[in-house]
Amino acid sequence: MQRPALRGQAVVVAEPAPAGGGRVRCGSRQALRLGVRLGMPLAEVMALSGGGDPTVTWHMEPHTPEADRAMLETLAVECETESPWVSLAYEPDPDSLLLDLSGCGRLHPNLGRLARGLHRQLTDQGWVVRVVVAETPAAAWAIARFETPGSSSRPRDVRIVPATGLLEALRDLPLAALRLTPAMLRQFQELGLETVGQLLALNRASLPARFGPEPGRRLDELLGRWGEPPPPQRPTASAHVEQDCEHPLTHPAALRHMLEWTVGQAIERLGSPTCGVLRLALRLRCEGGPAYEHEVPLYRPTRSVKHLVELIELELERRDPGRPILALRVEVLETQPLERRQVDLFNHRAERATAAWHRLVDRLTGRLGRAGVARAVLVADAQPECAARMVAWVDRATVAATADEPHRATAAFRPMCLIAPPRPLLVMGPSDSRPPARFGYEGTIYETHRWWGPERIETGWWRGAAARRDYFRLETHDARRLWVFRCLDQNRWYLHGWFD
Amino acid sequence: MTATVPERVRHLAHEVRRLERARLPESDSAVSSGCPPLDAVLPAGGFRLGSLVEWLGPVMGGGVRGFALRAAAAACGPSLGATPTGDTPQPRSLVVIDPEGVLYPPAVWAAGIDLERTAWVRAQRVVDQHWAALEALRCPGVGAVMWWPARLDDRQFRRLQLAAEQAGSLGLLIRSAACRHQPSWADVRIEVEPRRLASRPRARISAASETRGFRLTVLRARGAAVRQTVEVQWDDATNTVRVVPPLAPATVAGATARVAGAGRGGG
Repeated sequence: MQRPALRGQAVVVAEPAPAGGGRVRCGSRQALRLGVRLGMPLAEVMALSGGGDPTVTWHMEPHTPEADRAMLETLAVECETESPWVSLAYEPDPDSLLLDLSGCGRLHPNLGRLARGLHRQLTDQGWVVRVVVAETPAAAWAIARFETPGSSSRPRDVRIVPATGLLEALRDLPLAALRLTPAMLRQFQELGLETVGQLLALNRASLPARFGPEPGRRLDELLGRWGEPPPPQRPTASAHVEQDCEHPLTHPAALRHMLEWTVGQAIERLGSPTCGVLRLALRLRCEGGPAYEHEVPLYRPTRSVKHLVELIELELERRDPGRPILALRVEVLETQPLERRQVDLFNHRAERATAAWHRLVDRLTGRLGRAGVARAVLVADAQPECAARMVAWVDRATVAATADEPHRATAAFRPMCLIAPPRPLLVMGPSDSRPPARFGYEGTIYETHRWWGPERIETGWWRGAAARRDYFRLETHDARRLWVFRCLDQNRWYLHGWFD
Repeated sequence: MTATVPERVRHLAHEVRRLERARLPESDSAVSSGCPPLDAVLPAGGFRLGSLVEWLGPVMGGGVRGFALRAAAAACGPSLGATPTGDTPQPRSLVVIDPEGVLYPPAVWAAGIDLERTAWVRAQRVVDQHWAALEALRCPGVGAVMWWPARLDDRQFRRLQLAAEQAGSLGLLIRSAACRHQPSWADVRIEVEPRRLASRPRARISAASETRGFRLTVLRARGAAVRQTVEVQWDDATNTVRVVPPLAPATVAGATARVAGAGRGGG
C-alpha cells in the first residue's frame, strides 16, 4: 500500500520461524498464484522463485509488526464511521479489526448492507479483506481468520453468521482459532483433536480437569457463554497531561488541587463526552529521589474527577512519596464508553446503590491493590483446592454460569472453610483406613465421635503431583465437624477444612 | 384494690418493654436471620437492617459462619436469577473480609449466596480490614459484611456499629466464644454451641443422617428482656434448619451423657 511500484509483483513478507530460519507470513496475489502458501519455509520460496517464470520479479520483505499496527490503526479510524467502538484484535500481534455493532441497530438496520459497504470501502483502496459478522467477537475473528474453502467454493469475503448457524460455522475451524498456546495445540494434535467441532464434542465438564481452564474458557468465549472483556479501545487522542509545580508540593490540599486540575484536563482531552476512563497512570517527579508511579484500575469507566482523585489519594496514603513533588503527569491508558442505562423514575434507589457499589470496588482496590478485592469463580475440578479460583474484581470478565452439575451434587457436603495447604494431624494410637479415634491439632486433643465416608478423590496427575485421598467428615467429642483425609501415598492423616 | 407486689413487678416489666419497643424503628426494615427458629425468638422477627450482629462460638467447626451466611443471604436480597418486582427488595452485594482465604467458595455458593455479587477482601493488616469493613458497611449497594477479626478494640467496634446504621446494611461479626464476657457494641449477640446428637461413639453413620445439632442463645437483643435459647437441627442435605422436635432424643454434650441419662432414668 505504501509502495505502489510493488503492485502486481510477487511479494512475500517473511517472519522468523519457531524452529529457526524464516517462513511466509503473507504474500501478494501474484505470489500466491505462483505457489506460495502461508507458513511455507523460505527455502521453498527461494526454490519457487529460482525455478519459475524468469519474467516475474520476486520481492522478499521482512515483517515489521510496528508497521502493521500503524496501518491497522489508520484503518480503524476509517471504520469509526460505522461503529464508535473499534479495536485491534488480538494482542500482542493484532492482525484484524473488531467493530462492536451492539446498539448500532438504529443506525444500521441492515447488517448485510453495512458489511458489504465496509468491504467495498476497503477493497477500493486495494486491501484484501474479509468481513464477518457474528454473535461474539471471538467467533467473528475466528471465522474471518481461519475459515478455509470448502470443496467447491472459496470462503466468502462478506459473511453474516446468524446465531442459529454459529455452531455450524465454527465446527470445521482448526484449534488455532481458539488462541491457545503452541504447547496446548501440540497436546491436542497428539490426541487426534484438530477441529473446534471435535473439541466441542467432548464433555465440557471434563475439559478443565484434563486440559486446564483455558480451552473451556475459549470455547465459552466463542459461543457467548463467557463474557469476553472487550479489547481496550483505541484512545482517540493523546490523553496525558504534564504539569510542573511552581514550588515543591508538600501540603495535601495543594497536591489535591493539582491532581484535580491535571486529571480534569486529561479527561477533557478524551474528546467524546461518552468516553470514560478505565485505567489511569500517575507519575510524580519527586525531589531528590526516583519518580513515584502508580496505576489506577477501575471497575467501570468514569469521568468523575472527584472519584479518580480520591482513588489516587488512597494510594498516596498507603504509599507516601515522602518527598516534595516537583511535577505531575497523568495519562489515560484505557478507555471505555460510559454505561448508559434508562433511569427508572420510581426506582432510582437501585441505580444509586449500583453506582455506590462500583465506587466501593474502586476504593477497596485502590487501597488494597488489585489482588486485594476478588470474586470467586467455580471450576469443575474434583481436587477441592482447585475447585475455585479468585479473580481480581476489576478484571471485567464475567462468568455466564456459576457452576457445573457436579458441584450441585457435592457442594452440600463440602466444608464451609478450607485450609491451604492441608495440615497434618497428630494421630494418637494405631490408625488404619478409618479415621483416628484420637488426634491432636494445634495443641488440642480431639476424639472422634462419629464419621462419614470415605469419599475417594484421585485426580490431578497432569499437574505433576497427583492427589490420592480418602476423605471423611467426622464429628468430634465436642460436636465440631471436621473434614479430614488420609493420603493414600503417604498413609498420613490431614485436616483439610471444617464445617462451619 | 391495691396491686400486689408481683403484679406491680409484672406491670413495671411490661412498661419497660413497651418503652423499649417504642424506640425501635419500624419492623418492616428487618430481615430474616435465615433461621426460622431464631426469628421466632428475636424481638423484630429477624435482624433489623442497619444493625451489627455478633456471632460467638468455636472458631473451627462450630457452625458460626454457616449461620452468619444464612443471615447474609437473607440480607442481600433475591438471587440474580429472580426478577425483582415492585415489592421485592433490590439484590445487594455481600462483602467478606477473609484475609487468610479460608471461606470455601463452592460451599458458600451451595449456601445460596450469589458469587457474582460477593466480594472477597484479602487485606492482611487489621487496620486495613477494619477500614474495608467500614467502607463496605457505609455503602448503600452492600447488603451485608462478614468479618472475623483477630482483635477488635472498643473504638473500632463502635465505629462499625455507626457505619452499619448509616447505610442500613447488616454487619456480621464472628468471634470466639471467649469474647462472651467482653463489652460489645453489637445490637444482637448470639452464641452458637454445637450439640452432639446421641449415638454410639466412633460409629459410622449412614449418609441419610446428616443433621447437626446446635443451641442458639440470644445473649442480647434490643427489645428483648431476657435471654432466649433455642435448640435447632441443621440438615446439610436439604440446607434447612428447624427446631429440635420435642419427642426427639435429647441432645447431649460430652461423654457425661450416659451417666446423666442413667441418673434421670433411676430417679
